[in-house]
Amino acid sequence: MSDPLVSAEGLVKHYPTEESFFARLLGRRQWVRAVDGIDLDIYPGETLALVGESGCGKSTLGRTLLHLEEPTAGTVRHRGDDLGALSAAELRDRRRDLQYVFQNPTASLDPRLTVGDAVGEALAVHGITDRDRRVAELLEAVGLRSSHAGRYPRELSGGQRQRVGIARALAVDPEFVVCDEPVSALDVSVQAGILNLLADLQDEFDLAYLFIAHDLSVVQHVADRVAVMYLGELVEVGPVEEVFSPPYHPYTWSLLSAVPEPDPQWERDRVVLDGTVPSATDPPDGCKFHTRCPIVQDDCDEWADHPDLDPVAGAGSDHAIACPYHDRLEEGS
Amino acid sequence: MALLEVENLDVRFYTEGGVVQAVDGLSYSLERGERLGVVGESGAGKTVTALALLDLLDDPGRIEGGSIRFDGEEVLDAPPERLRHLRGGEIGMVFQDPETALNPVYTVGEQVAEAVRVHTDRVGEAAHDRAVALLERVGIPDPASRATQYPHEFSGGMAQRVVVAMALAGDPALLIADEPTTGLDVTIEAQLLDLLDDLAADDLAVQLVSHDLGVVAGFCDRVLVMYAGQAIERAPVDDLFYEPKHPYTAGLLSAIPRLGDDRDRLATVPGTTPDLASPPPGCRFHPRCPYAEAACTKRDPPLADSGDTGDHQAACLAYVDDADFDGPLDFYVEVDGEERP
Repeated sequence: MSDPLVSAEGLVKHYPTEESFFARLLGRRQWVRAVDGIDLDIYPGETLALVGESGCGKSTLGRTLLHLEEPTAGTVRHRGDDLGALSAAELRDRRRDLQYVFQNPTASLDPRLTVGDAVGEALAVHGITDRDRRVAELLEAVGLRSSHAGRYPRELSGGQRQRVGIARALAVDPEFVVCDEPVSALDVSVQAGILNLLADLQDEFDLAYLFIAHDLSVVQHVADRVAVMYLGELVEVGPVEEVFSPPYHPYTWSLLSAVPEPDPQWERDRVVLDGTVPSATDPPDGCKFHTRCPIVQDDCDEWADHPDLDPVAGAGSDHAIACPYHDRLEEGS
Repeated sequence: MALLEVENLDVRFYTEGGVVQAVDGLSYSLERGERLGVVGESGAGKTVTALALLDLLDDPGRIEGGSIRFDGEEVLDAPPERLRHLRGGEIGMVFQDPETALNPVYTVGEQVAEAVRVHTDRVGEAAHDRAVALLERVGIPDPASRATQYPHEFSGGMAQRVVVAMALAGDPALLIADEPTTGLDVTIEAQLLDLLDDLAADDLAVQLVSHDLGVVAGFCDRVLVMYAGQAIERAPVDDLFYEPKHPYTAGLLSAIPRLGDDRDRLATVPGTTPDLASPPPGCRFHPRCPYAEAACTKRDPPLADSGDTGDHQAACLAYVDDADFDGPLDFYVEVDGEERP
């Protein structure tokens, strides 16, 4: 495989629960361990999907990868250069290559800027001239008309707003785009259009995506590779067809079995996980998933740390699972 | 007699931009213990219909015609006192966002107990005990101590269970659940659907409003598809998912990605839902319909029997005998790798 485009090594992001001086003085401050030691490579032109329940740190990882949030520890490299070692001006230049599409297209567009201004602002920041022609091209690339440039976000539908968000991210001709739940707020018929658009743009501009999503049917449709995240750590990484078929990490298996399939006669072995994701301020000892795991073993809470991602089919395989007992899943079911 | 019979319901919103016909001549019925799914895109009128059932529409919305009979009784003529009893009593309601449905300054137990006091003759200790029993019924672990906690101490899924417990306080015969699992993770959604499944097994009728066809496929007996304020297809769940009769339903079904399908591109339904202040003439779906003909721009098709099985209706000129429609509708839906005509 070629060199990774973006690569994270030992990436950690912790947030304090309270910022006040007194909390600090009295030592009452706790830390939310949103991203807790992640190694991840993203290759040119691929779509890597990041899945997991809400609160598992997906969006924090996406933002930290672009240094929109300063990591607590670890490094992010883009084409081999450590983003943390760059000056502010150098980092801003890098942002031409690294872009972000937000989940909520209504909240991420300034209501007082026209579509043309919202898309053109990115061009101005990065000193790209010939603004109007470029804006028109971009709007057409995302399936809008160039006449939309004069409209305000409130005059557009949700799907059209998301297209503007995508046009804005593409304005500076990036090579890597983090798409944070880009279709979650949209109706199915509109969602299909946006997913097709993202695929077309990827082919046309040779983009790499980190596609953050909770809808596994969407992920299976768009992704080349999938990373499954639980409480700030990765529990399974691999090509989409391998992650979506056995052997599974027990968490991946539970997520997949919970997907509501639009088929009334669908028969499944459904495992319904008990409870919710534990608090990220005080995660369980050992394997963080052991409190909800359907195949939990006696010693799962005794490990010093979360189990490592181990390649499934021996060394060199790019499908890795962080569970030494995952083979018991097939024996049991 | 059906438990709920809605006939020719018309709801209009009087806005500055004109009169919006949010629900237009909607008719359907729901039997005791039956699970009806109401699906459609945003703005189709799903939620407005649910609110209208209990006369909960706010200005500028008004019910302008039709009839809603619950257990034979006309809801639209009911005096306020009787309506208060129906609402949340004999007809329970669960809405999308549990955080806004719960009052942040009262304990969860107190809020459920209040619903019990309003809708039953239990008071004091008896109401509290009933509240704890309801919390246990909806699967909240350690209900007695959880009852003393406030809504912010509950996760989204647990808070939604509390809302379900409140809806059950009056021992309803019908539960209206409007997008009850939207915004929850699949794992938590599965837990809640299991709970609703369990409740429906006790002869509770459920009207489940959802935009998620997967949820509807797994839960409902019959489905009503709405588009632009009208019912455009009505069928038992298997017929609807395997042999949709309306081009809009077929379009929606082929737009969803499914686990295990290997299509490169998803089919789309081009265009957007019409502005209901000035809906298109004729069939409201014709501007987006790949099968539209000249006749479709002139005549608004009624829900008509679509042929094969008895209980399957679609509102398309293809099923109207005297229509000037050449057809045919040659779509099919692929489920689980198998083509079905």
